[in-house]
Amino acid sequence: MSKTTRKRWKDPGIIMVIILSVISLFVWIWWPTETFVGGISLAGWAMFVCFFIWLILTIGYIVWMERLEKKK
Amino acid sequence: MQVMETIILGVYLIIMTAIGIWFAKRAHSSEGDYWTAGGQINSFVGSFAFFAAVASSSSLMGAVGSGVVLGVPFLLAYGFGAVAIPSFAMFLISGQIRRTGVKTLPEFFKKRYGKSVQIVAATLVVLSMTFYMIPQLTASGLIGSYVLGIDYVTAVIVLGLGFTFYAALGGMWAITYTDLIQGAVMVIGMFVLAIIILMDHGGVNSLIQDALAVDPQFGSITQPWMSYFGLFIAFLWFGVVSPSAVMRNFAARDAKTARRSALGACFLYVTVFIFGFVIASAGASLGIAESLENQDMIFISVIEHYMPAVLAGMMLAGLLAAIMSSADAMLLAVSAGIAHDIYKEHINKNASDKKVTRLGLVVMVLASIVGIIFAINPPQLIAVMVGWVSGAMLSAFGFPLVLGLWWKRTNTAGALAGMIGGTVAFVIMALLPFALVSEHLISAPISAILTIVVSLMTAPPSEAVQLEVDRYHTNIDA
Repeated sequence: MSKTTRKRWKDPGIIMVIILSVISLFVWIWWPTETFVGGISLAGWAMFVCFFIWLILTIGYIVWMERLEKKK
Repeated sequence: MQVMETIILGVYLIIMTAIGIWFAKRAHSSEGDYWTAGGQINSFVGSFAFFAAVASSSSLMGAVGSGVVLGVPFLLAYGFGAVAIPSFAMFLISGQIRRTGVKTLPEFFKKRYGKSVQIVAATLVVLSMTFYMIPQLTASGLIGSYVLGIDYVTAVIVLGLGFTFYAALGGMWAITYTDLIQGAVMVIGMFVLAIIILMDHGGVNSLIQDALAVDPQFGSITQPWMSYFGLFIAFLWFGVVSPSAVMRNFAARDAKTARRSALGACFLYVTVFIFGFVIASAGASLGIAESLENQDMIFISVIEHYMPAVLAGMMLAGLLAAIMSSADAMLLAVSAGIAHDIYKEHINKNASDKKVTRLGLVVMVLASIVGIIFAINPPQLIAVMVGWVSGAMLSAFGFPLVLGLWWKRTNTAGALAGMIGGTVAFVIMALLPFALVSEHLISAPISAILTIVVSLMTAPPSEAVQLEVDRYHTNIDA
């Protein structure tokens, strides 16, 4: 059983969830509402940039999973 | 009445219905499930199907409306969560869901926790899908009243009944297939609209400056932090707790295609929110938000202002047809939830198919009447209503589902406590004066705590169930 439990925390999906949570947590704690770039609050831009980070994370997960499958 | 738009709308809806019926026949003749028939469905088509299954067009329309009314950061917070919908669901549940072999939420709850949890889950799916009809009907009422030149209330009633008729006629197959086409129409339509807007204003910078010149608050954070955070969490979890669409995608296709389809859907979300950003900026630059009776109308105003009549007609037709598909999928979920999952399975096991179908129809009509009554005077902006539905589903299902997949100690009593406690907490929070779309920030953790504490205080699940949960995590075939 312990082997299975350990596997759960090494699951690529869970690692991605942790990365996603840490990045979003950073945005929510930082929350720079009073700084404006091009007339739009930096908090808004930070969320916008994350659109692309989510996409990169998803690509990373797919590459990772496909490599794992190949190894198998 | 907009003649050109009306003609295009009429022709488009007829074509969509015909395609729906044609696919319905084909799907029935092969007796295969839509998704399993997808041995031939590649990742490209799968991406659109995945996207269309999760993104309701009314919510895109609502996102633009909220971006103009509450400032563009509200739209960006919406996208911050929504873009991650396919990915977050894939990271957290896809592999495990594949190994459970189930295709709907109530089905999972029955397998993992037994009948009682299934009945509660089916009831909550019915309630949340009925409420989800309200933003759909609001959006379609706005489009209908504009295009057909009739008043909003009449449009809501006529279209609401039309949706019910279509759902009864076409069934789920028709909806799933036409959803695919409408997903593509929406993305392409928003792309074309965004290009026209950018050309008209001479680039992104001047567009944003035009918007700020009319509304200096356009780029500002206008709501409490909790509202943005609440919106983000509600949408981030939407793919995990939305009743069937995502699960089906993960459950039935081969793992590689399912994953790549999720990536495609994520990409489509990114593009749609970039276009939404542009459209909301154009909406703000028009300076008409205050004068509109319903501020969700802003998307339609932008379409009409920037697009030539033919393109506007196609865009509005695509929008309305997509909303119709979403609304019909919800009506069918409500009808199946009561007639099949509750009545046939638990109340009258010997009920004939005819009786079950008839009951399903009655339920469908009742659900659309409830939706129409509320949509006549919508309680909030569409984006906020969609956020409520997602927040409510997260409070009810999120933790019993995720913990059920990841923690074998979760038991029936814990799941029931989490589901009922989370829902009750959400309703109480919704009745209290609180920051917009942040009720679930309290009710979802309550659901999590109840699920964990009650599970620990009561007997663990049987050895067989625990072994089954271990099996969800045994290999990487996901």
